[in-house]
Amino acid sequence: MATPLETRQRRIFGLFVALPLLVYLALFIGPTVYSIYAGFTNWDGIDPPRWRGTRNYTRLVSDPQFITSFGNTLLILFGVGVAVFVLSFSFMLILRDMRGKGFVRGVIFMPHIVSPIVLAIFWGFLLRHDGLLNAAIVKMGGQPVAWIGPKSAFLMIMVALVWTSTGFYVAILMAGVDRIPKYFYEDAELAGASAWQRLRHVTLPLSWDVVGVAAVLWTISSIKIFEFIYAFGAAGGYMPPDYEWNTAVFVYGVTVGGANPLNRFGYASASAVLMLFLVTALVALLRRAMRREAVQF
Amino acid sequence: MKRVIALVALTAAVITTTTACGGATDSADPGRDKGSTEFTYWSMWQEKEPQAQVIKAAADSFTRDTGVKVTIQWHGRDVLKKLAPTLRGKAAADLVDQSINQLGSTLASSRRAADLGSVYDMTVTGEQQKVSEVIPAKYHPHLKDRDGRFYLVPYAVASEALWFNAARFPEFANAAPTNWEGFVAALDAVKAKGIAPLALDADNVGAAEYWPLIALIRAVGPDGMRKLAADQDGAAWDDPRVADAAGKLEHLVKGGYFAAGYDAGQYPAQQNAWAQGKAALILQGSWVPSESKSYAAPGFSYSSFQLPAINGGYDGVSANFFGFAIPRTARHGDAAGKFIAYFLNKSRLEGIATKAESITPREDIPAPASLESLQQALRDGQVYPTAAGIGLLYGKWKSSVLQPGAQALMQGRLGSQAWVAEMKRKTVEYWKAEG
Amino acid sequence: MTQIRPIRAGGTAAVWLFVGFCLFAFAFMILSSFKDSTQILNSPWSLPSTLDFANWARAWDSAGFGTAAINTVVLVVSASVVVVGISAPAAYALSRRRTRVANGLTMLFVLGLGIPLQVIVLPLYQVLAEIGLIDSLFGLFLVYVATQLPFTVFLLTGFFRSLPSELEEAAALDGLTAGGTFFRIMLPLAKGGLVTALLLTAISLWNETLLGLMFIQDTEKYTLSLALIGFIQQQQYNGADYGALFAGVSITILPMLVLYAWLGRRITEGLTEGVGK
Repeated sequence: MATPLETRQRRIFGLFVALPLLVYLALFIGPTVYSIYAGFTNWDGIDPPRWRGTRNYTRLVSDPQFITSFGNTLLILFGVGVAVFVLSFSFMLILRDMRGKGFVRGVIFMPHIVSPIVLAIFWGFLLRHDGLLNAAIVKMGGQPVAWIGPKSAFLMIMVALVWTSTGFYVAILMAGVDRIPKYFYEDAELAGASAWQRLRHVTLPLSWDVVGVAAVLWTISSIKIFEFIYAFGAAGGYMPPDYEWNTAVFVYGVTVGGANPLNRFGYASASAVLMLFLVTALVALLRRAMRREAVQF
Repeated sequence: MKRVIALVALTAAVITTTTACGGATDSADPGRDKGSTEFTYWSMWQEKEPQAQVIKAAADSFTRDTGVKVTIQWHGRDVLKKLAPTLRGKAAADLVDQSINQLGSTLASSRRAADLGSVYDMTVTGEQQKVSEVIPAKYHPHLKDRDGRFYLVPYAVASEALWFNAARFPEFANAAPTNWEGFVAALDAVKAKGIAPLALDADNVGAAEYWPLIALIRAVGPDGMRKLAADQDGAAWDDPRVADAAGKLEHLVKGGYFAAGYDAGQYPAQQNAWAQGKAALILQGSWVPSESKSYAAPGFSYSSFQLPAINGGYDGVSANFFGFAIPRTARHGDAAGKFIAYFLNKSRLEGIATKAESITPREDIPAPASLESLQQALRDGQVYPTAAGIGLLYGKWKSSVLQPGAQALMQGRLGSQAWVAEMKRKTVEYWKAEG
Repeated sequence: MTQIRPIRAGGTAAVWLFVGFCLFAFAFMILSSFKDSTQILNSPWSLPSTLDFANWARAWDSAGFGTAAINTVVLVVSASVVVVGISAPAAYALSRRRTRVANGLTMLFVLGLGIPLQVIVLPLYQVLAEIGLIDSLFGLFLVYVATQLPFTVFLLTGFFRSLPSELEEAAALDGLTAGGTFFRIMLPLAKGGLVTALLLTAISLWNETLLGLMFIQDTEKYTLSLALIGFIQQQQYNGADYGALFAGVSITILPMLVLYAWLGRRITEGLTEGVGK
């Protein structure tokens, strides 16, 4: 039997959902579905696509540029991801009872509110051979370091991503931890629990669902990282060097990017669809892994 | 849920059908006067750039003289990326400009450019000569598409060269090296003075690409270069001249001829450092004077010479073009064509040299002082299309095989032997995948 | 306790170092906007000698940051308000119904979070071209609304779930309609979450580049990030003007910094409710 409340809510359901759903279907899901179809075609973006079956996919897995890009995407997803989480969690623990935590949380969140392009411009000026860091090193009598040479450029991109992402996740984790009632800690302290035990038995289990949400958000957003890498690496109208590509840059690079655009929209769609599968699979896995007995309080 | 699926399917179907129809077949012939009283120009420049100012002034006076209204949109360098999606129906622009590589790969290679033969036959407004006469005949073959039709009318000619400060290195101005051995000896002499011989922004794929590309052309010639690009079985890459040219570049890379940090900077850092006197030479396009002039050391006098031939190979001068094209589906191609003939008038085109500091295709317009050496080289030397034309013929190979490979060689990530082997393997694989 | 203390001290130092670095980054960009290009290159650490606004004037005027600023404000404010305005009822409805349809639709919206924009840009272009909304700020507005929906619906659904349903039951017993319950009771309760959603949407739209690049053509309709990109592109063929570049950067980031200094707490605090449940 439906309660009166449920009946009423059912009545407004359609009305409340219809408009956003319509906009979303027409301008987001529709184009996505079309791209899935385009992944099986040869399409230059102008003429109608021509069907070519699964050949885009078989070519992708043997394309060294895609393999590099895919590897870099995984490096960001896991390498940067782990670093961001270790750092955010540590910061959160330190910040919890630190003076000026509001200020700190506010400042480290700042990279999240400006355009990645702006951050990339700064990062370039910091690390290039004649940049800020080397100028300081030289002034102190050292030798300039090739920070963004071919061997370390991608590592530096990863460091930058850790820098720009940490603040956001600190804010999320702190938001979760702030909701844990104070008396849990007071009780734990009275029972003689050490700092480590309080972390292990109070903080972690009670902020577990927030950690889960943060992990999902990271998985989703890390795969879409594009502007920072592009603005950091691209020069003179050309694409960034091949060793700096991730799969989002790949999609751009094989379509409209560079001085001689390749216009391989079908191919790019196929690679994007692969990434979509990866995200979906990872998020499903994460949700399963994080689904523990929810602790209500 | 069923309804949702149905909706999604419906949207998808709508998109599919709208994409499938509407391939325009009619073509604009700029020579057939439709009496258009307006046209739309999409520019590769931003409004305040000097080139934009020159073109804008000409468009204004064109409107005054003919009554034809010119709508200009300043799109910047990505103009063709924005134009491409509109080419399916009626093109959004009647006139567009970019480099020959970009116009070639977006318009001409897919036969979306109008045949400008009739524009070449027009008389330059206010003069006796035809467009085809003010643009030197030596350029004509390089301005045509695969079917032999003109698709581009250049208003600026660019090229690549080794640039230097003639005030500081008069030895290059007096007697530029004419063979590779002399070139390396000159570099050694510069090095002995404690100056870095060469600057290179290796992060800029285009700048890094010049070295292997031009060195290979110096060794095997433009025809040989095209064979390397189109090599389906790898035989062309086995040519010992290829390995030799790559070895010469490896010697420069490993021998410390490039300025410190050339592989760890951000374009245009090395170019600006070069302008400030921190390196002697830079291999770059002829836009390097205008790009670097606000950083140039006091008294800097721009001059250039060509990368010398390798073992008596090819020593022609490359010609890169910036100019106008008309999309095949343009509505007002006739008016756009008339504007081209109007703009090529000496008094108007001159602004490209005096204000925008570029070389114009007209030999009766003197180049700005910084580009005099290059204009002379273009006038006197044999001319080949920039990158031996592979940007147009094999643009995808150039982007996906040559450019990353060139960067690896110039950053020292690959030795010359490994590089040749890699280029051969990737070229063969490329053509197998394309075929 | 004793072995924790040095770790804590080190951690606190690391936190302040991180804070210092963030502040330094922003200070560097803003200070560089008062230096000329050669100074920026040759002595990056030096402070500007004067507070000369010449770079700013050049960026504002010749690089078109002035027009772009107005376009951006109008576009971002209207799109954020509309996104939140249509997402809030939907999120409420989705959070309150536990049927297969509701769950499926929630998943459908969440799925959008995982779809890279590059995937949809081209088909989207064709849809907009069909209805004549290319190179139109209204077209971009629609696209912004559509692409922001997944995150906003996701955030607000979580937020409404965190609100207790007792009040609604009471309201239902009092004979209030479901719509009335939503507008009169739930919406005021959700104010914090709505402000957070509004701010996060505004921030991400303010910085959006890819869609603007694809769908806007006329310089008169440029947004700030497009003006910035256009300005960076000019260094190809006509040289880099770093002073004006940093002035443009400052024009782009300062409004966000001011907004953030004013309402920043709302963002970080509101995040709790949205993602916490």
